[in-house]
Amino acid sequence: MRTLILMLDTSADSFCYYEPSKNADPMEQDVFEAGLQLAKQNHLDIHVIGCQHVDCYQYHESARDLSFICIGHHHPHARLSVPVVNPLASPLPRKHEVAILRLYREQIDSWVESWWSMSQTCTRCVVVLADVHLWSSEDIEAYAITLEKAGALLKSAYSADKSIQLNILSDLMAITQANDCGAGIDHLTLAPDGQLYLCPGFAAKKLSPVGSLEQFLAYGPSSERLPVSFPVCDVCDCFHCRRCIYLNYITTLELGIPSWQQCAVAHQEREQTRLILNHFHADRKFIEYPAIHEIEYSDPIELLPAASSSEADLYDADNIPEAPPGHRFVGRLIKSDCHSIHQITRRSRALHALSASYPADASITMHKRISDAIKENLETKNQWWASIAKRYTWVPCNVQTWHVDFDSRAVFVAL
Amino acid sequence: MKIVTFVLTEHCNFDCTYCYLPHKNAQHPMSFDIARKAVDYFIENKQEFPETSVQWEFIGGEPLLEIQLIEDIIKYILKQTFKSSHPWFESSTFFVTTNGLLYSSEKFQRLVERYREILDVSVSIDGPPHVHDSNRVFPNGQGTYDSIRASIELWIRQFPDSTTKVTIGKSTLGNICDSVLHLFHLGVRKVIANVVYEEDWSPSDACLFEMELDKLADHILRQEMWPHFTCSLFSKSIGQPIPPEDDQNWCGTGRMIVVGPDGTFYPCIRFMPFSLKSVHARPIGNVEIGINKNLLRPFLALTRSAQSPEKCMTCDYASGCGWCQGNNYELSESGTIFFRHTGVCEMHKARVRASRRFFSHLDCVK
Repeated sequence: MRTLILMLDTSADSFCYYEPSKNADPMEQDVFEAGLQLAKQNHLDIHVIGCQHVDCYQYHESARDLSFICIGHHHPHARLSVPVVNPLASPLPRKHEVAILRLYREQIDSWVESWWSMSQTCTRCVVVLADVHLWSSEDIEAYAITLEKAGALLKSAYSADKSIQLNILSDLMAITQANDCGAGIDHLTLAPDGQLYLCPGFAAKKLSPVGSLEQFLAYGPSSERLPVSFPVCDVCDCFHCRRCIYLNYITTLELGIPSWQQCAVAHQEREQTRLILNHFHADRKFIEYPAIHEIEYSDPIELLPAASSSEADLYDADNIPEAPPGHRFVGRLIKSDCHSIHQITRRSRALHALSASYPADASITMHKRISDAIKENLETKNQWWASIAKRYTWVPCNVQTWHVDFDSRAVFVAL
Repeated sequence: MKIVTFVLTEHCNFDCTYCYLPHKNAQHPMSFDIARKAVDYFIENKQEFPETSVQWEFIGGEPLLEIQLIEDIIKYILKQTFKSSHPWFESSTFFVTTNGLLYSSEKFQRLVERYREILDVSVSIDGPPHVHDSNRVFPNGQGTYDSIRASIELWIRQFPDSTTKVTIGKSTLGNICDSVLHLFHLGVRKVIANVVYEEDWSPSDACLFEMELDKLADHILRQEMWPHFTCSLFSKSIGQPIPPEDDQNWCGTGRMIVVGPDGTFYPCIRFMPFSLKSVHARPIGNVEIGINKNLLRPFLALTRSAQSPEKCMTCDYASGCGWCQGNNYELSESGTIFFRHTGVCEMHKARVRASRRFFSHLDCVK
């Protein structure tokens, strides 16, 4: 673990996928001081959320000596402030290395302009699709169109040698392996209730605390890795996706399984990044970044194997069943022929069952429809046998009574 | 094939000792309206259910406590699929799993007569009376074998190709051979059996299990029963290492849909509230909103490697070793389905060894 995030108030503005708590819940001085002690004891960096709610300088003298990153708000004494920008508000008041643009569904059509304006005063813009788990397929299509616009602007900036970054389109050029956000592994969050959580999202909702301050002060952070499986992400190369375990958990109830929307937007971003790289590779630019290959899927879950059917390899599997009384075995059908007669037979059975379901009081129209369908199916069945009898030389053409065992595809005819 | 299972009631007229449903109750029978909405949803959303065939299953509790509802649902499915020319009209089959007590009732027999061609029924029997009655009992503790004896005979006459499932618990471990032979003698030609996944089986259990399987194998071979009778405990496909690229989930959870009495969808009955002791239920949608794709996703993403410990991935006996996803979920400490309980490990190895001996002798006999 490298970082301790101090969440000074659970209602502090969010910088990520979670929504802040609606109720103010400021961190008390004793919790804050214990958090500082925990960080010092374990040589952890400190990130602070909610500086605007609690003036931590009033709490502790040593806070003045801390080198901390203030997320979500500008803090004059912070080593780095990462503001969260509302795209509908005015542009950033001052230059920033990094700023976060938190978007909602209703801003899909307008975010590109907001980002482009931000990029004049900010080197790296991090787009967070805050409510992506609520997006429909249509929303994702609309988002894909905006990515094309953003891609065009990014290409113009790179052509003019401007070094700006837009996480959703530029990160994947350089990242060649999984790039998790590190929640629960690299960082934990201390909430005002004195509990440690996997990330601020879990802290804001008080979901699944991983331990108390007292436990962590006594025993230190666990060196064990969070036991989470990422079977979908393991086969995916959208490495710029931060694999948000909070978003995973609230949408799929599993820390390691992303929502379908998350995968769909990540793959739209991947495709646009691929096209941008292709554009520059054609001009022998950015050749230090490997090309991204074209893929046909948009959801890596499609790459996972389906469940196996249970073991059906019983020891009589190859046996030919006993002939029905008065019949003899003549041969086996090929699969497609067996499938055809199976379909016809099943339709016949269903029609007779349907007919039995309709007593005399049923409508005449329905009765007629069913009886017509039965006649038609009988004709199909007779035609099937006629064609089979002609094609398979072992079937006597004149035999009218026959039986097929669908499991073994064995054909029996009357003696 | 798609499997859609209706849990018609959470009530049962038996109180079996090993039942995996701790919260059975008589308060929640399914209404026809709920069933109708479920059927409409499946039929109207062909793109979500592209499978060419479907098996509609009826379970409980004891499903035969709701015979009229079974009939109404079958009739409705046939009518709606026929009217809409849905491919499932001819490819629908119907399956009822019952404890057998009401099998011979006039009402159920009328249903059997009407739908025999598209219906299959499984009656649960554990073995001869003393074995069956040690677990399968009425709420007053009395054994049930005598009460279902006539039903068993009728069922075998009516469905000669049906199978029955034998659940092997610790208390019946020493009776496996007797139980399977009893079922063969009753006329059940295919017996499906498995040890319960919920137990932590010990090496001495495995030893007894292996001895019982050897005894059963001996009977099957000596009495030349093998051309006509099969028991799933012996299989050629078990006990081989599984290559890493063969990463399928063993359990079919998530590929089937269970409709609860209130219209909630689940990936399997074991994820319903009345099945779970200490963890939250895992619904995946309901008849009003349909399938929630995000809640279903974890079940579709269950691969062998994502849930198995290293020892299982490198096990030389791996193929055929199974698990119950619901039990895994119940036993995982972090409330995840990506966990594999390995309590059956030694039992599986014992089964593999016995199975190998059986086939080796069978090849000589053949």
